Amino acid sequence: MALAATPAPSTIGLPLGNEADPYTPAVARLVRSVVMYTRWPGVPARLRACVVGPTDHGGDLLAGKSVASVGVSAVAVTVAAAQPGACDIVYIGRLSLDEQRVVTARMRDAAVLTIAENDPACRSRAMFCLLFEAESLSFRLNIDAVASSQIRIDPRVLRMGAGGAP
Amino acid sequence: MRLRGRGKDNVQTLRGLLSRGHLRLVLLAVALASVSLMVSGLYALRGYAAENVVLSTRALAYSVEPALVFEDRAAAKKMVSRLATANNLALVEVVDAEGKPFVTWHKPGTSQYAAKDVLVRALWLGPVTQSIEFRGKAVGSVTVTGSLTAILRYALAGLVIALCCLGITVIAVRILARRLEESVVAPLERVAEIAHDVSNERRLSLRLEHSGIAEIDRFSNDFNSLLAELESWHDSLASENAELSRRADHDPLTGLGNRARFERMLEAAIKVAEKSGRQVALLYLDCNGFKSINDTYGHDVGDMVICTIAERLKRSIREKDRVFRLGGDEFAVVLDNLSSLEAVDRVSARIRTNMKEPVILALKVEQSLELSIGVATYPEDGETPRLLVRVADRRMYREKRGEVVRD
Repeated sequence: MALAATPAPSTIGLPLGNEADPYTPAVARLVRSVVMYTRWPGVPARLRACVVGPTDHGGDLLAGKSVASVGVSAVAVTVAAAQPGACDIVYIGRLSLDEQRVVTARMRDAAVLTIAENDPACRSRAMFCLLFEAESLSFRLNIDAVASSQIRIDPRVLRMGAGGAP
Repeated sequence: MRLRGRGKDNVQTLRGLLSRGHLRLVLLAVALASVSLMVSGLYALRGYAAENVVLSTRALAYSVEPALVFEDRAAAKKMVSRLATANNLALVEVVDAEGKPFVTWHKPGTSQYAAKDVLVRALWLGPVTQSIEFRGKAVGSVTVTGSLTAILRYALAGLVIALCCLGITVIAVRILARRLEESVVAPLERVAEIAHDVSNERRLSLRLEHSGIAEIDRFSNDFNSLLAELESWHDSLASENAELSRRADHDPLTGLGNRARFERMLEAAIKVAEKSGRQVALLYLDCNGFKSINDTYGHDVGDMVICTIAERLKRSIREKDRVFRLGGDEFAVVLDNLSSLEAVDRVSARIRTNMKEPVILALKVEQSLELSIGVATYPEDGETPRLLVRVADRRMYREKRGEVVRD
């Protein structure tokens, strides 16, 4: 499915605040919302979020803002440390496309939610690719990645993604 | 001929009356049927529409929930628009947890106000509100108002179908009613026709035919027997009248015309002669010695003699001449349309000859009869019946006294 290839609509997604970096809290809120509509096998009480590589807007996520209330605790890890057994959520930061693909290939078929920060064209094979726009933060979906994963995402969310299924 | 109703001023036909009655009945029936169908149909449809609004509200609340959580207006708008169009809604309003408008959608082509109009409320098509909860926490609510489109479409279709049905039934009933009317009105018009003939032309021989409708046949039978009675009554009256008029101007003993008839006939003959220029002769006749016969042999014999004279006079005249008995033993003969007086002499001579034949008055008593004859002719002896009669009478008496006939 080539859903990721369609261009993003202009004003879609989370509205931004007036902070110095309005995207940082928006990223935390978006991760929280996605987590709330996602089910992991076995329903773990705590969710470990691995923030891979350097990020531009992952500060609040690492600090646990917004996401702590839904049982998410984030840690920064290297590409090598990002393993399926150690993470329930993988937030891929500013990495090259090849590095991103290495991480997503590792998470394929596991119960891990993958979110790519620096991949607007969504070619990294992450499930969610963030779109930083002037007014809002939205996301693209890679349905193939979602389908092959062991986690289950509410179909209503899948329908919301830019260029998602109607 | 038209049959008349009871109205004084507005005369209406039975045909019109029947037709109007039928039409009213049909209009009532079709109107009742269509109204009841429409009402029950609309009621059922309204039920479905209201249920549709409730179900749509639920579906919207469910679908829009993640968009509210993600605070993604565009996604919410897309979803609302798709669902509202598919479910034929008029107005959808989504508000967030703080009650601030999140997404508002209304049907294209209608204003927000029209969607909330009185009719929608009257049909309980909303607004229906449902709160949206996520993990036990209210994140917003959705308010939905239904659309009248389906109901209006049904009502319009129903109206068109009802009108078509009405048209078809009206035509069908008109045809059926006309047949019925013809079978009822035709016999009645026949009655009117016969009644007209009876009153204007006295044709009592006509009768009504068998119509095949019990009430009308009963009426026809009575009408026919009334006609038959009227006819026999009319016939007997006519024959009685003929008898009376015959008696009025005929002599009962001899069957000859009497004085009244004689006067009429003479006058008519003179009138005809005035125009044609021909002559009329009047013969006055009297039996000589009749009084003594009457006195000697009695009135029966006298009557017999009178009858004999009448019979012999009839024998003596030409076919077109006429004999009258004026009274007692006085007779008159009118010969009209004469071209010469020769015929008068011939008739007189024949009378005298015929009278000579003896009449048996009693056993072994025979007597020949003798008449005195006075002749007057038109226009020589006078131009009026009165004058002619007087001249004829005078001449007859002169002859009786034995005077010379010609003067």
